[in-house]
Amino acid sequence: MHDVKWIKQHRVGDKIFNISLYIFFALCAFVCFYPFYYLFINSISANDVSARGGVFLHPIGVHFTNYISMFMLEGLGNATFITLSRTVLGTLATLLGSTVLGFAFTQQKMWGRVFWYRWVIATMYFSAGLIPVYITYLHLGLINNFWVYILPAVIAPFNVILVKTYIESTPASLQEAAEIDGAGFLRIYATIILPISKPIIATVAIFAAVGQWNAFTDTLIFITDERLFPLQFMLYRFLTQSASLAQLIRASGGAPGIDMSILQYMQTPTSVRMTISVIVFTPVLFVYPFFQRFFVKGIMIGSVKG
Amino acid sequence: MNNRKKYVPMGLFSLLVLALAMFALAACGQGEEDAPAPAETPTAEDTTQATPEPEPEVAEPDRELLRVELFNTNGNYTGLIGGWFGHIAREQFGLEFNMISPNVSGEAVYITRMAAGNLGDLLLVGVHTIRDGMDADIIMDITEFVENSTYLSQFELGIQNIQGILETDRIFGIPGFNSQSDPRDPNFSGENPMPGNFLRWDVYMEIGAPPINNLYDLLDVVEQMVEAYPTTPDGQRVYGFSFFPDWDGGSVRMISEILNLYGYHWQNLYGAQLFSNWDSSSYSLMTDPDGIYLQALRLFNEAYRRGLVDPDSPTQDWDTLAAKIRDGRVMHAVWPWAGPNIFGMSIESAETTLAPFAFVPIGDMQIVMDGFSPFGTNLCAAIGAGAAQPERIIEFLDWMASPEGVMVMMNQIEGLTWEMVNGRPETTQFGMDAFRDNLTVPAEFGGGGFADGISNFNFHFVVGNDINPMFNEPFAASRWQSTLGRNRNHFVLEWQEHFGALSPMEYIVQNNMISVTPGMAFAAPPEDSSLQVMRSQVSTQFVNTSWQMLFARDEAEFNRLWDNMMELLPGFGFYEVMEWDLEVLAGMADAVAYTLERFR
Repeated sequence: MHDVKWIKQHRVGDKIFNISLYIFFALCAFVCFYPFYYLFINSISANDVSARGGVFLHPIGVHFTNYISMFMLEGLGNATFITLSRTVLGTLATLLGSTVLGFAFTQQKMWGRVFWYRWVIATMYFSAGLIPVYITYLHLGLINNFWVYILPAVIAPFNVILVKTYIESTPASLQEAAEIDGAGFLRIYATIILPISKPIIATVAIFAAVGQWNAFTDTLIFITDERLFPLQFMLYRFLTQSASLAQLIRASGGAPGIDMSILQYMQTPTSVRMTISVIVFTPVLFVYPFFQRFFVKGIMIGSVKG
Repeated sequence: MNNRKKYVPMGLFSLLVLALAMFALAACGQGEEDAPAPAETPTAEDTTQATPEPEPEVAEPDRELLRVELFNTNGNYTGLIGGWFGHIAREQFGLEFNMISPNVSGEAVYITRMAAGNLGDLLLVGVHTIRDGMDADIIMDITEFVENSTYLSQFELGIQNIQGILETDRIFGIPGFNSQSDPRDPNFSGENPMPGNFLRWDVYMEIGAPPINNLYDLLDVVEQMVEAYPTTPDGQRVYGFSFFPDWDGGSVRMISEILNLYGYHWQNLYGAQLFSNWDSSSYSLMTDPDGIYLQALRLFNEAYRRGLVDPDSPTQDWDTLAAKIRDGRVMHAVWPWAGPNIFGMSIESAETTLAPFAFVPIGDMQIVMDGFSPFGTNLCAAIGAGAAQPERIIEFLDWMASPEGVMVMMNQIEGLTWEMVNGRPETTQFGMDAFRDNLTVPAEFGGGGFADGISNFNFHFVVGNDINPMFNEPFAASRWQSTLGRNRNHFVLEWQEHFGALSPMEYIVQNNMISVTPGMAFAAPPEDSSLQVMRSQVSTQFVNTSWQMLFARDEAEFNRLWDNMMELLPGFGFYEVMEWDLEVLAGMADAVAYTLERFR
């Protein structure tokens, strides 16, 4: 009897606890989800309503002209191609650079290992500044050159540290076993280290891919050739132009055709910002779940026996 | 054996690094050929939009297409200029403009390009940039080119002014916005003064259009208007005044704009804590306890305590405010373009607008406006030292300064956006809708969207109000007889009947409510960094306290905030900044006196 009562109480307590947990996690999920939802409903709401911050729960005056005008941007196809190229090539280059170098830095026998490692890490903290970088790139012929998106990304010290630390955490006996079987540096790298490093490779790949996908500041400084503009730069340019609309109207000072009542149909910087954000984060949103499956721990359990 | 084994992997590693390095070097070498490769596989987008028809032929076959890097500090665009303007540049001059603008790409693009010794081929930059560029030897001496040109050589006064600032007798830059009109006449566009006192016209008429004799009356009238119309149809609360902080310089911008209606200029010394009168001969310190700024702050604090000021004012941005004005949630505006103004509004828009705004004079107002400047501005056109075929760029600039060129730069394409009717220019229906709706331009004019194809130069050699000798009317379409006489909406007719004038500007001139700062040859010397820091500290302190004072709960708090600030300001370098500003002001007064003497 006592036991039953205890169990009942326990169940009620459990229920309350579970319900609280559900509520708590639902709130957490909401906090994570709402910003995306907010951006989306603002991007499809009437532009003048979104400009004054009147959209919170559901879209008001749904329309898709913001997206349509984004997709009507001239040269969008080429820009998408550039962005895809730099994302794929840049990510591959970063992966190659960080894994090879990260692995090399774990090898005690590497000549001047400590010096080279510190030399690479130092660049994280010390930089010559923009002007020397610009002049160096200019002399290397990288200004107005597609490779300015790729080459500077090959060695990313932070990623090198990540990979090095990860490889150090794997059992050294794996490599020793391979060496006994006669494997050389490259074979060990390709057949032992790369397969067991999938989680860290996935992490670095995400960092690199998202960084490349979102990057446009290098375009601002190093590129003036329209054919090399990436997608993000086109969107950024569109945003600055819509922000200068107020200036334009001020400059025109009431010229015919610029009747202020037209503004409610025109894109406001707010609506453009919202729409651009949605376009920017959507692909990234899909990248994470795709890489999620690589974040598996315990991949090496049982790989060394005896 | 052991040793050998140890070094074999390292050898392989070295090879790999070497391979990486070679890959990198090879990539650099290939770059030139590789770079355009992605673009050479045109997408559907490219073929339909960028080149809607086969590549047009260049006017003269011996002229190959020249790509001009255009560095424009006044532009808001970066990239190739295409569309109908690109078509004109290509067809007539064989030029293609690739614009770089620090407004888009950030100041870093200026610094790096300057350091690398090549800003661009055609530069639209301030005179101080030209001076820096001359020191770095990256600006071309264009004296001979300009002397042999037809139109550019006519801007003698402006060119001499720039030469004086640059301390040279050679020509390195040609100033923009040179006016041929009398510098003592106001340089306004449209029919409204800027700034001015603009009220919700429908509500003002509804409460019986009481005359406004001074700013205190304005408060009363606005209060009556809010009482008559306390909420919008969808239930939003209506306020009399609404401000925003985005454009504050040395003071709360909206307050300064209102003082502009009372004979004081703040624009000449942007960021300073003083107002100057029209000829810079006298000034009012914003920190003066009897000064106009404090009076205005006090007045609008009273407005706040009467519930007339929008409490969102310190935090909202311009977009939010503009939306509120459009929705009829604000009764007052200081700029004609801030809300749907009845002048320039089509008959159809007047029927549907929620908030028609119109200029309403204040009895004791004395608006200060800028006059025409025969000396141009300090924004110049210059040629980069490394420009290929500078004579072709000069030829283009000379066209830009010709009446035909100005008409294209300001009013776009004859036969499409405007046309001659009975010997007078008239904006076509296409011209009125083209920018707003980004109408498609016919293929013979270059195709593409109209708004996508504008030049984006934001630079003219003359001003829109100057008279075009081709048809004896101003260049700017807003001042054409055909525009001014265009179908008037019922608000305008009501306004004209009420005030007995055709337009606000006419009313102001008739009633002597305007003073004009004549266009002058003056460039404030550049400030050193310590002064800039002091100015920024003083401004921040001053502006923040001003906002707090606007929203003070009572007189005691208002006074306490002011006293507190007056104690703090000297410590931030207030007197050093003031000393500098007064020196600049004295230079300005000399420049005004010179203009008046010369154009007597």
